[in-house]
Amino acid sequence: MTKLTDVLDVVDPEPWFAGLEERFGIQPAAFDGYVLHRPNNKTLWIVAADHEPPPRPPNAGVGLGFLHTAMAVPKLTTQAAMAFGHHATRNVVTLDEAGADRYLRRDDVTLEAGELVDGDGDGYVLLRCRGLTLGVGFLRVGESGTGRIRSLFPKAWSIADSSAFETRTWK
Amino acid sequence: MSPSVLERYRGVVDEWDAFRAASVRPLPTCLLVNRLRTDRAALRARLADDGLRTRPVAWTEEALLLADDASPGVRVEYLTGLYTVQEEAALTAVHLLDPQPGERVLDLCSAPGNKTAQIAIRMEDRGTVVANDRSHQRMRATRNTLDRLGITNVTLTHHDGANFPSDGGTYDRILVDAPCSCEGTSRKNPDALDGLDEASIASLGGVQTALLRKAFQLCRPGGRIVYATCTYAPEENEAVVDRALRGSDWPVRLVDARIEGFVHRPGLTDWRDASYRPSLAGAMRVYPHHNDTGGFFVAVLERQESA
Repeated sequence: MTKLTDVLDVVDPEPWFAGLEERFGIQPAAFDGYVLHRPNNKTLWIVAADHEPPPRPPNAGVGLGFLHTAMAVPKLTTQAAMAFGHHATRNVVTLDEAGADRYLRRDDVTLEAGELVDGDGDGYVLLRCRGLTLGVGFLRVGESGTGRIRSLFPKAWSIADSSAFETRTWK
Repeated sequence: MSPSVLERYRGVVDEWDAFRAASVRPLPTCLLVNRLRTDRAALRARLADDGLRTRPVAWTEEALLLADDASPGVRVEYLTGLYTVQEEAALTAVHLLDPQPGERVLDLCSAPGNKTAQIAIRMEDRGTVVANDRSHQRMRATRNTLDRLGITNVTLTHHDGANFPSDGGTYDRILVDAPCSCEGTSRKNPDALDGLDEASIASLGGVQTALLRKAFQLCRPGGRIVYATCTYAPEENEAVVDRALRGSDWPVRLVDARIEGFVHRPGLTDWRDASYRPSLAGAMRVYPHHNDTGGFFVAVLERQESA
């Protein structure tokens, strides 16, 4: 049977996991049972460790896009943020529904002083609402503890004018 | 909408008027719960907090019916991958495939990927799912679905399913969710029946048979194959299975497709002037008026040990 390493360029995940632990407090143990592989120069993908991709036909993706590495600071993909973001303990911003709708529309989100707890200043943050990780943003800290987060939610998944929290009332 | 093409099934479908009426009613929205991320009770509670009423699908733990008209594709629970939208009747194919964690499973015609996701979730995101589709364009929908749901045990491939390479190993289970005339989707897509005629229905049988025979070849002895369509036409269902078995180089037998709590009708053993092997009565025909779903067909087959 074909092994993962026969088909994929499996990488040492330790430095990448260390970076995620440093910024987000995600323990490397959160990724037990997965391996990272590099399908191209720009990204790392995460895949179940017991997965055995076929050698043929050529694959068009094995597992889940995980980390963009061809950047000054590697960026977690939105899909990885959603899948593993609940393990994060630092640089997490909890939004109310109105803030989450702005983020999901790809609009900037402004933070009042004190809204970012356990933060390390400028850089990537994870956005949460109602206990769900929505994705990744880029925080710039302003004066006296305020901040502005640029939404990095994917355009293809973003909502237009609607709300992701539409409610119904029944008489 | 021109439901006249359905007239050919008068005499096959019971309660004809109920069938015709159901075929044009809007379809209830069915949610496939991403049990990698939540469970059905917790998702129900989240939706109820916003006033959205749901009821559980009786025959499977993995699905919820939305009781009210809503926009399930823009909700936060959808965007963060707690569920995806999948028609109830279409859930039966993977239910009968019954994939297990750690197995090796091939979804030969996977786009747009909802059944792939159902397979991967049932496998608890472990083992190997190979999701193939001939259409590069349509595979983007599969990619999106798997990304949103956070699934890591799937390899995507773009290849002609009927010529899928056979030197990449065998599979424990194979789903052939064949391209079809889609008559059973008329409740979701009112235009589904437009332009359908006898010739367009007859034109699909060759590809469908080739796909199923490929599955016979790629399945390990003792493994399971599910052939499914979302259409009523016997030319695309029983006739395909019968023809694939008749010319098969591999020992394969039909087994009964049954789901407790889900009403179905047996597969046909004759249609017009054709007759099919008696074991095709074990296939499952799904009509809209029995369970308030779309129309569907499922046949379950097992590859036997070589003689």
